Amino acid sequence: MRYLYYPGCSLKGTARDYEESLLAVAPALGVELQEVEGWRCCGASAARAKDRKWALCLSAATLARTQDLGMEILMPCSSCYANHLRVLTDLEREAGLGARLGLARPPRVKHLLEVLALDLGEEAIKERVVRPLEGLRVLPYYGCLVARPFPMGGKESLENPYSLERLIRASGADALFYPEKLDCCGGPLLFAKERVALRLAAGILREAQRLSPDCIVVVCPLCHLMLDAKQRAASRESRGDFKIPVLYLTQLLGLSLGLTPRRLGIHRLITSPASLLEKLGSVGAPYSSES
Amino acid sequence: MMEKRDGLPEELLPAIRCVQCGKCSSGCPVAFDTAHTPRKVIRLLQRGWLEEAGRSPFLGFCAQCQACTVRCPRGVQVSEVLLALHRLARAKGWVRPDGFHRSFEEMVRQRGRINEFRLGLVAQAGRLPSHPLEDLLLLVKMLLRGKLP
Repeated sequence: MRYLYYPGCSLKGTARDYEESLLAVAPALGVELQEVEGWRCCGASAARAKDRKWALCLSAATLARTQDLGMEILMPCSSCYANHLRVLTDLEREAGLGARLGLARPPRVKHLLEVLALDLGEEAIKERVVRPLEGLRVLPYYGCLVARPFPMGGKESLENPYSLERLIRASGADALFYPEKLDCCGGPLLFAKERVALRLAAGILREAQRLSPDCIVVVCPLCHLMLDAKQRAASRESRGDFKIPVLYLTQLLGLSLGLTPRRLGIHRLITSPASLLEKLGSVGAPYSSES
Repeated sequence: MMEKRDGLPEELLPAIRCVQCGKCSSGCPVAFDTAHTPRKVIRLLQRGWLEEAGRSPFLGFCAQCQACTVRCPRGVQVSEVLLALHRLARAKGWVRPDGFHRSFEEMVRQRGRINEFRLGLVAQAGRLPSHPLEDLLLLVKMLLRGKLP
């Protein structure tokens, strides 16, 4: 399977471990990625708060650039995904918008989770697992924009999606029941209302801690920033003491595919994954943070 | 935006369908911290109090999580209405964009992409972070882990 790959700004910056793990896992799963040349920022949530037309144009630019290639675009970031999908839904609603944006044949846009869970499927992943992560307790965390407001693949549930759980199970790990899986991480508020943002992240981490997971798994760089990098600050803000490793889905799958933690960028995590790697080592697989 | 029925601009018109059931606000993740809720902002719009709605403190707290939008039984895209109202408030000068938004816009206009490190520095400039020690530690860790710049 071949896809165009739109990394987005985060995967070239603070989420480069997401990109590393994606680029390591994709070929292992038989997915070929071709990076969009000259891609532009989607505008995140900030451009939409300024000017709707400008925000539309930002996302439409990448779509227009790729429309002649006839390929679907894979996006690992939930915010980029939702912004580009919004252009596509607006095209359907507003006659003449396609002509104004120069979008005659808009390409399809898919989130990484959608490609793995719906296009590739859990069975295809299970077949390639060489080190099942047995006994690992994993919390699925979707965040907002991969699930809302556009149902993933046009059919996934808005309030209770299950794709992530199925992929976690495909890796051999246990996917725990986690009612907070769709709560807001607070990411977009990090600069404007820092305390509120940290309290939202802390709420997710506190509920997670009660379930004593080995790790949380996420599919969005902003969720990862809030839960992993900001975990200490969230602890302080809420007088908690959180020490929960937060992995990207691609990192978890990569481990089950036999890739080393270093190739998956696990050494870049801010909250130490030592407890997780130790547990993996103790179930018989040769993992260490050094390898 | 064009002024239309009830004096509301077109993008805000869906607010009229609201029956004030409060489902948007009960599921709102930031409502615990704000004086207003989405329901209240929509109510202000229904009464035609555009400026009061536009100056509502809630608008600065909305994280655009879309929970209200998918739960509204009347099909009001609440997040979209709130965002349109926020844009209007900025255009009318009722609220001013913060440093984060200004530098984000500038960066996208100039370079087409975001450098998170620079954006973070600029957005943080001139204001004391809530947890300066944690932030400093995080900065060092991110540099060591190769996540910056």
